[in-house]
Amino acid sequence: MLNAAEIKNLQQRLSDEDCQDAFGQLYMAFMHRLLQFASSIIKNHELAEEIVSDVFIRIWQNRKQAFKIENFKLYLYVSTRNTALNYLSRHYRKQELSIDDMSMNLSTLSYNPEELLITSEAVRKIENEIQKLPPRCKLIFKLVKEDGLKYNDIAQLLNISVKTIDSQMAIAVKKIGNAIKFELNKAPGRPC
Amino acid sequence: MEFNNEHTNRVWALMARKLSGEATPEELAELQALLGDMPEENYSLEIMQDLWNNKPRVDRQYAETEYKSMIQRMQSMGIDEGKFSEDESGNSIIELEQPPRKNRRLIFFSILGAMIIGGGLFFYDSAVPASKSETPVAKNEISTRYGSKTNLVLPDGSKVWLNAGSKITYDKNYGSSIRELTLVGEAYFDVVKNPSKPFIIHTSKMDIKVLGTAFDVKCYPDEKTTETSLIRGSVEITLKDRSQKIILKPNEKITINNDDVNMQLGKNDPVKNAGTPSNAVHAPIITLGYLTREPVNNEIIETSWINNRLIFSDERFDDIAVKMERWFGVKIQFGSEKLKKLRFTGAFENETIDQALSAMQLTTAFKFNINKDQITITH
Repeated sequence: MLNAAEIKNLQQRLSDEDCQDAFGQLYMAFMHRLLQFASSIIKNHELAEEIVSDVFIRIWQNRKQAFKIENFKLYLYVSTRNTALNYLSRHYRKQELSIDDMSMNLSTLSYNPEELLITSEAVRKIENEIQKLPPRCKLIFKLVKEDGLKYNDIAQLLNISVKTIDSQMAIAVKKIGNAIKFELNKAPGRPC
Repeated sequence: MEFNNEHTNRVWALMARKLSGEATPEELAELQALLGDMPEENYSLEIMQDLWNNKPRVDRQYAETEYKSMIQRMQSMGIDEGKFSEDESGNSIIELEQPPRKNRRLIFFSILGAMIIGGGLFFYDSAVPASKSETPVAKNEISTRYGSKTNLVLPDGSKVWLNAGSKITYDKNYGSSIRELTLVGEAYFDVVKNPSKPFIIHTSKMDIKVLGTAFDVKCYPDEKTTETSLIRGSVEITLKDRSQKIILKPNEKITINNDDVNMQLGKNDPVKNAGTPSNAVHAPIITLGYLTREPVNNEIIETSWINNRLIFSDERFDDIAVKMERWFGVKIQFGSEKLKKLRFTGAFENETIDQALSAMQLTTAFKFNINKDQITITH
């Protein structure tokens, strides 16, 4: 994942240069995450692909101004959200975004057990636990953990309070924590 | 031990905040206190921390295919898709893996090692013309005095802007096989592309090798650092005292401390040196960063001198004085150590030294006295 300074630098280069270098790097860094986010709203993979490409084409067309954008990451997600809502209103006359209508598919969530302290069996259990999270909880968890968005960014993006994010994150972390404890206690040689 | 629900929910919420980097120091302390009674949660937190750092892998090939179809869509919409890549080596940028981050951010190396090679290597002394006349090949030398700048075109058509108090030297047979020159001071280069004849700039601290590009090199012996700032293209830096090569990309800047001794004694800028023990064996003396921009019009500060603008951004008065001495061709003395530590941000274009110092007085109280080209700063 790119850090804030790297994103700022790519924004600057996007404005300065007429080559696709910085643009391509930003695309490669964000396309998967934006695609998943778009899919959570529009629930159609092909349409989501088109939405992400719309977002990036607009960025390319307005690249001379890109360096001025303060929170580029949030900007990408908000643009994706708005573009997706435009699609919805055009095709289904639906304009409001309700977080309860969104569902996040965590299909890419695959951990490499070799890099972790626990067995692959335990990793599978944890993944299973994450997949079973209620939709709104899963969406928030995904945006925090996988996408690295700040609580404040998510609050703006989904029009919810930071308090809601706190309580949903507590639910997710508790479920995962309990799954880990269960796996550890089950392991031979460990006291129950 | 059993806890009520509210209490445990708070623990989980705090854990989530810690994992996602949202927790304040107070919240971290609160979590620590709560976890003191919950050893099992402590252990699952450790494992979760591990999970958190383990980011899922992404399907690069899929993203590349999508990228290409997006570019095709742009073409069909009649949108100018620009150049594929700035360097014309034919490398597609989306196939270029980013080099490992660690190497690119900060390069640490042993101060002890640097000290051994240090001493005397990089001190340019204008009073000693050295063995210049004894060199077998005749040399061209172009230099600027304090207070003046110049620009020139090299035999191969490459352009050079030479800042005040600087000198470039090159052989009479420049360009016959490779294009090679030596720089003391600061210059901006716009190099004509010629892959068969590499363009190499030697400075006391680093060599810069390019194929065709625009960039600024600053290596004044009386400044604390040597810098190369890249505007476009790419350059390869080889440091004098180590074999490692560093590739700069556009909008990046490499900075090397000139003064290893001060560094070791911890005498240099306390802000930059914060948190580094003064007697540390490993200290960052090479930094890879980005170009600085003037907040108002986004002008690149590193190359503003070409447009006749002297810009400084939150710099110490004694560092600014070194620049002003060169810019205006004056000599500046300080009445006290305290005055040297004052910090200023500002830009000058056509101002005289008198006007410049008067403008600086608007933000901070100090007095100055100009006697021909001698300037004294007092309280």
